[in-house]
Amino acid sequence: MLRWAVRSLLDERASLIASIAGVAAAFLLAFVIQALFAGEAEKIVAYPTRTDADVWVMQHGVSNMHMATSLVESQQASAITRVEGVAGVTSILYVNTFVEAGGQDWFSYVIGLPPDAARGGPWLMSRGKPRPGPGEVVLSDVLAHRAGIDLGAIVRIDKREFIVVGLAREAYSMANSLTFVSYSDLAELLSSPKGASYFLVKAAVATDPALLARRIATQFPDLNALTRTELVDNDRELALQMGVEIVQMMNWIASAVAALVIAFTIYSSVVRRTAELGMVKAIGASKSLVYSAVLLQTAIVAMAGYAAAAFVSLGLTPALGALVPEVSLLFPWWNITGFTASVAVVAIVSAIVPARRIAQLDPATAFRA
Amino acid sequence: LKKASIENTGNFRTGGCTGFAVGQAVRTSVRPLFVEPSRFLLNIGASTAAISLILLFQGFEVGLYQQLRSLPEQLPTPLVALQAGVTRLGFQRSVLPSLIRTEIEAVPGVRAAHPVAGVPLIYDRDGKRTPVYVIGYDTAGAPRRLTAGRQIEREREIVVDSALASKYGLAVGSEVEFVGAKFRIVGLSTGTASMLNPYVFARYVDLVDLYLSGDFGDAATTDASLLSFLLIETVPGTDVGVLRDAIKRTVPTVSVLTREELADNNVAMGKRMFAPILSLLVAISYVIGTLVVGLTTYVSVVNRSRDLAVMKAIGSQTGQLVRGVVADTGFVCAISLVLGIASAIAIARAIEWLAPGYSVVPWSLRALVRTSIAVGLIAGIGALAPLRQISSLEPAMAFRN
Repeated sequence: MLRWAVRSLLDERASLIASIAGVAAAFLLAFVIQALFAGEAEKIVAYPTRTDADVWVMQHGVSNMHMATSLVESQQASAITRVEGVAGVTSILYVNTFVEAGGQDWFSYVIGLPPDAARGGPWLMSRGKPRPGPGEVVLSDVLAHRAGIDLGAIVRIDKREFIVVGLAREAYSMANSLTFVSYSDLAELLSSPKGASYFLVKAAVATDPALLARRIATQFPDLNALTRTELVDNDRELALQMGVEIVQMMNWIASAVAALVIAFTIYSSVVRRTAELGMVKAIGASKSLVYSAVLLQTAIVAMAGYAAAAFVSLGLTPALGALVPEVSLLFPWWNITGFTASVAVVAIVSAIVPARRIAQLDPATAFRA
Repeated sequence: LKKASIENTGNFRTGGCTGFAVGQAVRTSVRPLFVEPSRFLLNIGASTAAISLILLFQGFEVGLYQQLRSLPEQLPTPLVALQAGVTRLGFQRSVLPSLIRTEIEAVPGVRAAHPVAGVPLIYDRDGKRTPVYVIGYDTAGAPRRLTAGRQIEREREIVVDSALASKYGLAVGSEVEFVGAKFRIVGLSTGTASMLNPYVFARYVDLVDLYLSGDFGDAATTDASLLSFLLIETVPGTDVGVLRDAIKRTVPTVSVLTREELADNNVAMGKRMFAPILSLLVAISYVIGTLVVGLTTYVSVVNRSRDLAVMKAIGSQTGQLVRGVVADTGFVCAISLVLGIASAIAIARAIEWLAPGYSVVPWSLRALVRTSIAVGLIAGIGALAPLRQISSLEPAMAFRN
């Protein structure tokens, strides 16, 4: 009976391929959009995530970077260095503003780096040098590409000119891009020669970052200290609200439509075989055999569609990277597994509903049809 | 078998069909609805879902840019003065020296320059945090449309965007805390939220008090003045372009833009930031959505291939079969489009209700035309592809199968 089920499926090759293609298209839609959202959600917090700091120290009342302004006295860095469990402190200046490049303005996180910064700079370079000197700037390679500029080009930040000396990778998201200048240049632009925005604290070996953050916050009541995880969570919460949530909503809609299309395809695939299955039931097959045949056919269609979608998704990552460098796909396998499990339930229900009707069919009716 | 085949085919006449009138085509196309309702409804359902997806994705894009345009267009004056180099509203910090107001008001043709403070803040309540943009206005700059309550009349009163109020369960009369001070909500505004942040309106003097007392936790503490922009009211009959040039000449340290320019600049910036990913998402929705419609149509025709082959074998011309399939597909497409538009609008409304602050506009003419053409084209290909095989079928083969 099960062999018949497979053969019957393979007999109608055009319909089978179309059904698999329909399921694959639906899975592909869900996978790619989930991957786009996951990629974007990671990129908007790339800076605090990738910066090698266990504890972030900032102005009291500030608890994130996105759209925030933090200003503290830079001399406090040396006092923090003396706190038990601190291995090193790097001061950075930060402002979110516009960078004029290629005749257009680009919203950016501008980071001011000290010349000897142990952390806080770009973590992956495409070309050029990673540490900008006075009058120099390191831009995101994607921003440079979109603005049509390269190393040696002139960009403006608040009317001041900078020469591009480096292009950083993984420093671009739809909500912001990362731009690095020298500490002294940004201090001048912000008119705060003795200020710092954040202290990036590296914890000593075997020091718990959460404990260290509490210790710093207790000793410096005018400062706020957060672990990297806390800062990343806070930043993501805010940054997602600034446009990326739309992608999340599109993701939900796409997943719902994908599940619906899979349900329609599976249901239609079983309904198409009603006469055959009814005939098989009429010549003596038990209800359980009918159900087994239907479920086997459904599993073949669904799994083939899933495999095709997974294969195409993986191939899309480098292709999209080359075609649209502004976006990156990150396949959140946990979410995808959850979605797949939900869709499996939907597919089984979509197959069982018409199968139940067939299983209850009177043999005489089957022959009459 | 012949009778059953003809019944199953439903929409094809067997003989005497010298011309296929439009009315007849439509009539025969409707018949599958009654002959095979489940299969017909499945086709419609899958196509409707795909069309809704395409329209909704475009709706997100259109809604987002409309929101960015909305606030500048609501400004009460034709011209706005901002810090030199600042060309957008809400995206960029603009700081003007307080005394510049007098200079601008001295330019002939300027009736008044109304001060406005714009401060980006993070509103924090019950563990939820939202970036907001606080507008402090004095003599002009109040929100244009209120959904509840009234405009500000007394100190420490504010009007908040209704989306923000809904998100936090706030209403007229609620007390809220901004930058360490308590305010009472007296009105809820609409059309005052963008993808970046919802707007909160307060009295200019209240913000100045907080600024002078040093209560602004982070934003604006480093600014030399709280004045962000000036709404320039013109003397009736003054040419706006001429006046703008005059202000630029007299006060070269400011940017002067019209409401429309500010709106255009906001949209251009939004597109620069979000277009790559949104355009990609819309493109994906087109590819997958039309593929689903095409495959659904293809399977639908393939399922009827035996019936069509029998029709061909008993004398129907290929042209008749093609016209029948096209009419049938057109009917399914038309219904799917109507249902797709209706469901996209319903889902858009549900999103706006569930997630206030977001605007989804799936009914823009451009989106509707593009979607209809794409769906019609792909459905046509999906319907006609199997016909090639059927038309070349030998009559004997049709009966054997």
